[in-house]
Amino acid sequence: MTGVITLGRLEIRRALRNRRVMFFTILYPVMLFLLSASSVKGQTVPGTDIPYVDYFLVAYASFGVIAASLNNNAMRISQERKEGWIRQLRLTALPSYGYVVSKICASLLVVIPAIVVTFLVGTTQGVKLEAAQWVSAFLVIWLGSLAFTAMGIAIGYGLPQDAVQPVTLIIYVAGSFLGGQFFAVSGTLQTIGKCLPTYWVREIATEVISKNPVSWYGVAILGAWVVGCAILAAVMYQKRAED
Amino acid sequence: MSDERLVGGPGVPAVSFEQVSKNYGSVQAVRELNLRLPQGRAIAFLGPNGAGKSTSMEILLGLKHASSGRVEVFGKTPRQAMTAGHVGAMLQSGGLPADVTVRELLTLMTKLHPKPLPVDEVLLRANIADLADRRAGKLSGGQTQRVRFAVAIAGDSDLIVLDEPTTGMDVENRQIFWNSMKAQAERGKTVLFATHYLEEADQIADQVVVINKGRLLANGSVADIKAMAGFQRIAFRLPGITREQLLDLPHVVSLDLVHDRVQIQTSDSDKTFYALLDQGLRPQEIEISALGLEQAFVAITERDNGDAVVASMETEDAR
Repeated sequence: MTGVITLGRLEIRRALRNRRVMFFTILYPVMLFLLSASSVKGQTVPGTDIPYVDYFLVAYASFGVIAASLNNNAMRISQERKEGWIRQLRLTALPSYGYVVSKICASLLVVIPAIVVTFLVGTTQGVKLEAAQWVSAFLVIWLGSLAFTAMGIAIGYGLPQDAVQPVTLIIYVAGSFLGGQFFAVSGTLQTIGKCLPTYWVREIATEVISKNPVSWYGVAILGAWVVGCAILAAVMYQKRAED
Repeated sequence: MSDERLVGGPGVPAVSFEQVSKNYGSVQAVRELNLRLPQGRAIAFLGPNGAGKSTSMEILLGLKHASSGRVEVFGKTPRQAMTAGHVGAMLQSGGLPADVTVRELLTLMTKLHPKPLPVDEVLLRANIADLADRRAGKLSGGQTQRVRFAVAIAGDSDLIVLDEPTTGMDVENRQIFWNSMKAQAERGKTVLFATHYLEEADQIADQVVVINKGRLLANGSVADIKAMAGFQRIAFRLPGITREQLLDLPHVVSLDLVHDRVQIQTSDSDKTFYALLDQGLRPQEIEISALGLEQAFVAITERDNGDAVVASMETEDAR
C-alpha cells in the first residue's frame, strides 16, 4: 500500500507541475467563466429562476474537472503505455492494480483545485450561496469526476496510441457542448444531453445550488456511467495486461 | 548468507524453466525450453534477434505467461519472486516518464522495493550522482541506460536481469557499468544479462546461455561454448594436399581448402594437429588460434540454422 501512496503522490506532483494540465483544468475554465458571467449579468437561465452566473459557476467548474480527469488520464496512460513506464512498474513489487488506483486517487486530488478556484472566482462575480450549498455542489462535481476518470482510463488503455488524442478531444468538446457546460441547452440538444455524464454532473450541481430537488433519474444515469466506464476500464486493462 | 531462507537456500536455482513454450498464434517464440540458472553467477544470455531471448526474459519476469511449462524464480512463480523483492530488472522496452527527475524516480523505485536501498547509495552504485536532479526526458541515451540500471538495483534484489544494458553507452561508461555489475555479482547476486556485445559476455560471464529459434542451443561456461563451436582454428599451407587426406582427422568441425591453404575449425586443436602429423604430413606456415566467443556464437547459431551445411557445400563445389 505504501507503494501505491508513493506512486499516487508522484502522480499528483507531476500533474500539478504540468502547465498544460493546469491551463486546461484551472486557467481556461476560469477565463471562460469570467467571460460568460460578464455577458449574462442579472439574467436568469431561460425558463427558470436560476441566476445564469450561478449556472456558469458549476458549468465551468465541471468543465475543468472533465479536462483534469478525462483528458489527463487518457493521454497520460496512453503515453506511459507507449514509453514502457507501465511495463517498468510491473517489474516492481507494486500490486497490479497499483498503477490504476494511484491514477484514480491522484485524479480525485487534482480536480479539487479546479473546483475550488472556480468557486472562489465565482464569489467575486456575485454568486452567493450557503455553506451547505457550496459543499454539496463541490461533492457532486468531485464525485462526478469519477465517471470521467474511468472513461479516461478506458480510453488510455483501450484505444491505439494515435487515436487517443483526437477521440478524447471530441468527447471533451462535444460532451461539454451537449452537457450544457458552454450554455444552457434545450430541445434536441438537451434530449441528447440527458444521456450524458457531462450533463448530469452539471445539472445535479445546479439543482443543489438552486435548492431544487435532485433528480434521481440523473443520479442513476451518472452512476451508470461511472460503473459502465469502470467496467470498460477494467476490461481494457486486462486486455493490455501482457503488452 | 543471511537471506538464504528467503531465497530458498543455495541449492534452489535462481531461475528454472521446465518445458516452457510460448506461442503467439501459430508462431512459436519459445519451444520447450529447459534451463536452470544457479545462484550467484553472472550469466550472459545470447541469441540472434528474434531468437526468443526477450520473450524468455519477459516470462521469467512475469510480464508474459508461458503457454505451457513451468517457470520458477527462487522456487516461486515469477510474480511472487518480484513481489518478494528477489528480482530487479531493466528492459529495453521499460521506459521512464520524461517529466520526473532521476531522484524522484529512484525514490519511488526504492519505496516500491521490499528490501530498499538508500537513494544516495543507488545513485552512487550506478554512478549517476551527478544526474540526480535531471529530468528523465533530458538524459542522453547512455545516461538513460545508467538510470535504468539504477532502477534495476534500487533494492537489494537477489537476481538482476538486464536487457542489453550497455546499448548507447560510450566505452568509458561501459567499463564503469561492468565494474558496478561485477560488484553486484561479488555481493553474491545472480546477474542475468542479454547483450549484443559478445566480448562483454566473454569478459564478464561465468556462464553463457545461447538461444536460437526459441530453443536452448548451448548452456555452459564461456570455454564450453567455444569448445562446442569448434572454437580453435588451425591454418597452414601444404602443397599437394587433398581434401580426402584431411577428412579422417579427429575433432574437426569444419574444413576449408583453397589451393594449398587449409583452414580447420576444431574442438581440440592439439589432437587434430597431432593426428595430422601422425599421418606423416608436414604442413608449413602453421597458425593455431583460439576464436573469440563471437565466432563461437556465430558458428553454433549458423550450424543450427543450417547455414554451415550450405557453406561447406559451396567450398566443395569450388574445389
